[in-house]
Amino acid sequence: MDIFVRDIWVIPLLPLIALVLNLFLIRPLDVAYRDRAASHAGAAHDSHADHSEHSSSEAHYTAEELIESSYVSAIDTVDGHIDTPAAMPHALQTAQQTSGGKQAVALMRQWEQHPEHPHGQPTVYARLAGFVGIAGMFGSFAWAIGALFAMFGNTALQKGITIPLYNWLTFGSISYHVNFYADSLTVVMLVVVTAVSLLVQFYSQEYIESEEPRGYARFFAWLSLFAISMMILTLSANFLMIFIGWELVGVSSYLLIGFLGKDAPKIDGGRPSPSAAALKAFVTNRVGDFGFLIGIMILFAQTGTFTFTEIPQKLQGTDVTLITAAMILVFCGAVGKSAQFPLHVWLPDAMEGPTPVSALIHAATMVAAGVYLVARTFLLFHSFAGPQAAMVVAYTGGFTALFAALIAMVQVDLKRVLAYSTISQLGYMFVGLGVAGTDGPGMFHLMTHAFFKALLFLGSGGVLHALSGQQNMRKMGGLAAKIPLVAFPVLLATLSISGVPFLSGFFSKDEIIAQTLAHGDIALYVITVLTAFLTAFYMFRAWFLTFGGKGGAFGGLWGGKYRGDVHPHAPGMRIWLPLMLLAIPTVFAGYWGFAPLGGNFNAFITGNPAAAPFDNPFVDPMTYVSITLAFLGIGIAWLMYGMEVIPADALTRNPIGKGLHALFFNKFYVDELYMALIRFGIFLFAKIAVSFDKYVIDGIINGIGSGVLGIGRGLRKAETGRLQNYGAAFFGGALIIAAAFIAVVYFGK
Amino acid sequence: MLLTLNSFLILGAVLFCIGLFGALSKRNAVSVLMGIEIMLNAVNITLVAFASSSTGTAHGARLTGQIFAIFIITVAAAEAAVALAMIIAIYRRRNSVDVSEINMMKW
Repeated sequence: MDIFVRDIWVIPLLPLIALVLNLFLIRPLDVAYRDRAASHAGAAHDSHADHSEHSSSEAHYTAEELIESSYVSAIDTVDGHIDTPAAMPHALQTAQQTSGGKQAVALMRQWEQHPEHPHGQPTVYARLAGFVGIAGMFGSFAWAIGALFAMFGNTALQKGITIPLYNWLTFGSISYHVNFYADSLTVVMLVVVTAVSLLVQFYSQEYIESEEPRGYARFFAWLSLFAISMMILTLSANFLMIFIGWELVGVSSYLLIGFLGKDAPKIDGGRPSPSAAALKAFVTNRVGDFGFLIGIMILFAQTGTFTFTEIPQKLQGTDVTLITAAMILVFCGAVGKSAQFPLHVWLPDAMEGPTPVSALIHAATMVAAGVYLVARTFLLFHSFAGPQAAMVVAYTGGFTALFAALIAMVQVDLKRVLAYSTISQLGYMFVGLGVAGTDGPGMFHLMTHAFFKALLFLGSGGVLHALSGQQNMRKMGGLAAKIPLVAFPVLLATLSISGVPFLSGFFSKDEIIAQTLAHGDIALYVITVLTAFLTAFYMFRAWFLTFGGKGGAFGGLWGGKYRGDVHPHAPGMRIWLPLMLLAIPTVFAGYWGFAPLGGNFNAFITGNPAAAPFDNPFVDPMTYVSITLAFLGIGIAWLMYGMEVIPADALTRNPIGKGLHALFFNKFYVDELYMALIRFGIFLFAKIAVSFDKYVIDGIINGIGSGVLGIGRGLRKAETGRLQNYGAAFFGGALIIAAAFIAVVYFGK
Repeated sequence: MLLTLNSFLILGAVLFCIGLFGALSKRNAVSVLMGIEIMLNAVNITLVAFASSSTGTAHGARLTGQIFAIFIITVAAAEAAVALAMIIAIYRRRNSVDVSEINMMKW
């Protein structure tokens, strides 16, 4: 069994093979195949090039092909409620027969801009790319499970082993190693990453097929790239490797957020383009990474090593203030990646990426990397740095948790509610890491959250899929009756995140709340409990607005009035099966930390069998406070949005409520504040810099140029071309030198 | 009046200055050439004067200056031949040997 841990490099290798195959073999075949299909179409083809929505190299189907080929059947299967697509084949045929190609092309353009346009079907090669990616991920997942089981009961392995790969560079006495490090923390993270990745890739087959079939192979290649990056980040044995993985997940996140390009069609307006969102995510992360890098450098300067296991030994006796500063700077990186205040602004915008990406990267795995980083360097935070470092972690997390929950309460975009919920839950994890004596509670919540949040996102993807991209919850309602296979697992996840007892979210969240009390921090306790109440409220608000509503079964819990205008179509097996599979850990993962049943997550994650398990939440009276608040939140949401006995605007009728609503709805104006700062700060600085450049730098450069030119103009007059003048100058010069020499010799003494 | 080394050096200096004045002020290229020849011979006189007044005891110490002078005469002959050839070439081309008109050596 040990082989699963000793040869853990297999886990990133398999998706790497899938990536290489997809990117360099299957995708070129896919593109070539589509181009050939397009070039058969004939004369009308050329006129399409100029209005291409996407890359011009991507094939466009032409009118003739639409009529002749499978396109007709593709349109026929589109739901009958949409008028234009259903009428298209006939209209096209008529246009073709009466006025030739021209009108058909015009109609074709119209049809291509229609939101229901299927963009064709993925080719056989694209589908192959999906299979290759999933096969690689499945291998990784199986290996990670093997490693997890190899670690059970094996304390030596839980404490961690280093897997040397190669020596990258050697400068004198300093060596940079590319090494993997596997301990229980790594393996838990890897299981989460591979499990969610596998299910998301499986899910993406159907999702991307309808969203963007031309990028099908590319999408799977980027998903594999992300998986590799995340695995490198997770497995790294030193700061250098973790930083490489850190940046790689940033790049793959960028590629995947911007996957739909800058002109992605949208049903509802007022949202940023995917390209802008991708850029924002990348740039915002740079801010945090800057601190992270400085933190790494300080630690390296103090210890001469990047390796996690060596740094604590060599830090003995170093100035505590310096280590505290270094750890807070390292935490800056985590703040950026895990979207904590004040660098949280990128995550809601990242929702412009395809929903499977949101589930994988921006809910379950990548955003948890910051939590993982703090857990990985937990010893440094708690044993070497001063108490301020852990306090910064805990209070940043606590503030963010409450802050994001307040925003999530009033959002109307389903994915944005989930995005703010993710930010809020990540805040919980940081609270757990900041106050607890081990990294157990934080990591426990990371694990359970990964499953239920991935489920919630994939569920929202199922809704978007059913509603052809509609994200506004005001245009939903009663969907539980229409897509029950999606609704049921989502309900479980909603209950789990709300902290309903016996589900995974309850155990992990309650452990963190209990830890704040055990740490004696009343302020954090109040914040976390209040956030738990808000979480229950906004999650069930989202549930009722999306799946329930007045008139549904069980007082509006299941089904109800549908407010949208798009006819919902039921998603296929490839969408609901991953949801069902994720529902299993959503319900049961929490029992790993439930002491009465023998679960001791804490001992496993710390590699210390003597570590005390998490307290049984049901004996602690304080637990019932949070349970009561959770049910209170659910109840209020039920009354407001389920039964609708309390009007939804009950609290916002008075001016204070109205103002608060506007404040929350506009996300505390943080984006606007940043924009203002950029406008008035950076632009002002830029203007000063411009004028400095214009007048000082350019002045010097141009001055040198024109000065030399002027001197040259003057000096050229000396060049008469007459030999005798030159001779006179020569002998005159000699005379002056001779006179000077004589003067020095005779009078210098 | 005894002929001392100084007498020869003054003669050399005077001749050199006359030659220099001729080389720099004459417009006729041949006169310029003659001025240069005078300058060369002024140097020769100086060299021979130093050589003959030398009290050095090393082998050939009193001959060095004289051999230099012979070399200079040889080189001056060659120089005169080349310079006259150039003057003739310029004359054939421009029908003039006025050096103030020969000012092609500029930008």
